Amino acid sequence: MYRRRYLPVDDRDDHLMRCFSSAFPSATRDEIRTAKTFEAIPGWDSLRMVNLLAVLDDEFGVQIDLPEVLELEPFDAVKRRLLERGLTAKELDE
Amino acid sequence: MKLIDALERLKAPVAENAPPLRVFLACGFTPLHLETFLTAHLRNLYPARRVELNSGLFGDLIGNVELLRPEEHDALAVVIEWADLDSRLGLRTLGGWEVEKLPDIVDSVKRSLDRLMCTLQKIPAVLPTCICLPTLPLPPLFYTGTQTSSVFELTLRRDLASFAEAISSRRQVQVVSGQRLDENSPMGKRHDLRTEINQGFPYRTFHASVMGELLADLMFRREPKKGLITDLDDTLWAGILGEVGVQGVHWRLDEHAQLHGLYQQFLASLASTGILIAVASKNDAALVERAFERDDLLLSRKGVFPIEAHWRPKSESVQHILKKWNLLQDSVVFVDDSPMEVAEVQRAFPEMECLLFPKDDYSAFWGLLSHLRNRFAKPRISEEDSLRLQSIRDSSAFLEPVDREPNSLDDFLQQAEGRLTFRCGKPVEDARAFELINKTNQFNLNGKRYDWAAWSKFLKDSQRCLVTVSYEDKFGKLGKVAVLIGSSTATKFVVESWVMSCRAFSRRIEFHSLQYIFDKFGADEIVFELQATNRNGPLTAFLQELVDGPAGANPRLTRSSFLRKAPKTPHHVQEEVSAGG
Repeated sequence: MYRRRYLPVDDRDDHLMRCFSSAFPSATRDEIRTAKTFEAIPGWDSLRMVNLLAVLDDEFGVQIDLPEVLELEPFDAVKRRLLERGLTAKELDE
Repeated sequence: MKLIDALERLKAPVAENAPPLRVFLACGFTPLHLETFLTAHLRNLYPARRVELNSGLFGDLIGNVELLRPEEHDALAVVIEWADLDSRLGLRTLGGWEVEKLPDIVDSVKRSLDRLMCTLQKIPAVLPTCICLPTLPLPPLFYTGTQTSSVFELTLRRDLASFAEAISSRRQVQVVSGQRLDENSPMGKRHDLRTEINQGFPYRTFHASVMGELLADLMFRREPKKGLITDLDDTLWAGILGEVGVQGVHWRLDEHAQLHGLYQQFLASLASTGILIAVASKNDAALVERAFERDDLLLSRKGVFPIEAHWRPKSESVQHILKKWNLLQDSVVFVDDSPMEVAEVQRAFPEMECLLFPKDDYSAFWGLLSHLRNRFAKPRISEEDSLRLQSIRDSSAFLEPVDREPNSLDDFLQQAEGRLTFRCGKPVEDARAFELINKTNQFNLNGKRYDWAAWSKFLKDSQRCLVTVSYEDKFGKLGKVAVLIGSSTATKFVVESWVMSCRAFSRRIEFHSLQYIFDKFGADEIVFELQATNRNGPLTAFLQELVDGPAGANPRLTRSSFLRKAPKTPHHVQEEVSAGG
């Protein structure tokens, strides 16, 4: 059972942003943060999506399936999933 | 390297005009993160190159190798997994694991290996090729259980080993070490069933990283070190020679000094591969010579040259050794048990790798041997390797009269009975010419290197010629020692590349070579595409003395100037015309 946590109100999520930036190299941080869907992130393609999920698994030990997040707002949705699975805001930052 | 680091490495910009480094990755699975890691590791190793990685179609490893166009690539990596040899050994097809099918699976793997062998044999032998045998576990298809090796599994592994043994004998082919892979990536942590089934990529990212690093490292081997300078007391042997005497120093298991025996055995092994071994020791020279007379020493006196034994600073000994070897400091490793001596030599030779001999630390000692083996690693031993030590000793004989009496060199060379063989032609299999061009630093016209694609193009270019020079005299053979590439017009010969092994210095082979070019091509003038590098001082100095005016860019040498300035050319010369000449 995963512990549910509230999203922190600050922007301490550099580690998570670094994961996104590595997978979507042509997108800026703002573009990643404000994209409404994954397809809206500049440079999106399915290969980059696979890279992102592998990086998240590597960095946080959390496996997320593609259909689970595809229809959601990318950055916040992934962040919420990670927090739901026990990650702390501090872990998303460092 | 983690995946996030690899992806970030790929984001780093590369200069637009950076020369490409084109690698073909042949595998049967989706290359995905292996491609990412291999590219990132190659970019780390070759930051000035634009790495271009190509891969073939999913599920057809052997077909991909068959489709390879070698002339368009600088290297090939072939990553084999069991599923590539028979799809029933993979997990994405359902071909059946019944007992009656097992013999057919074994036969099918053998046929695939034979087909892969035939395909690989068609690839030109100068294209660097790395082959990685299956790294993933076999699926649990054998009825004997996973604790027992079934006869089918043993047959599969035997056939695989036979394939690897046969292919590894080909020049430029390197088979990734399974032992090294096991050390870096434990078998239990390699396979990712989830990504294999969902994405067609069977590796965990950690395993993909290890594979990428090993392949990148093997693909374009760095130039091996050429010489090792060792201390004696508490390094080559245990004990202080000056205190315990010749019979008191020891290196045996029963004397609790096995590490020193292993070190001797290791140095003898290096010497047998053409690596130069010298001694720098603060010791009494006569005593050292007597110690080397002990017949139980595992490193023979013959395999060591020179021995610098005196009480002056070690850096002075190292300087003398470098001069006798005619090597630059970055080609040499220094080993000593004293941190102070290591620091003193390191300070005097900052580009030399100076290592502490860990006489009381077993784990560090094991690490030292592995490290040294990698530093001196060669894919295979050439004829020139076996001649190296003797030719260095002979070179020393050549240098000494020059040092003492400048006028005696003519006589000395005459008595040496030297024989030079010039070959003008382009045999495709001449790996020695390719090797010399790519590893020679000091007598090198401009430091220009050729990758396989450029070399292949050159071999097909009828306007440019290749001249190689071999040398032997009454002291022994040096083998192929010089290579010259150029093109000729009616009255002019332009030298594009010119290298000569440092073992061949002081024999006037360079003068003979120019004489040959003037005569062979009927040139009135030779133009050199000279470019100064950090290390080609000897060739620059040679040209400066020979040409009229300063040896700036593209210096010219006329026939009359050459005849006026060149000394006597003392050797007997013969010419062989080889294929493509």
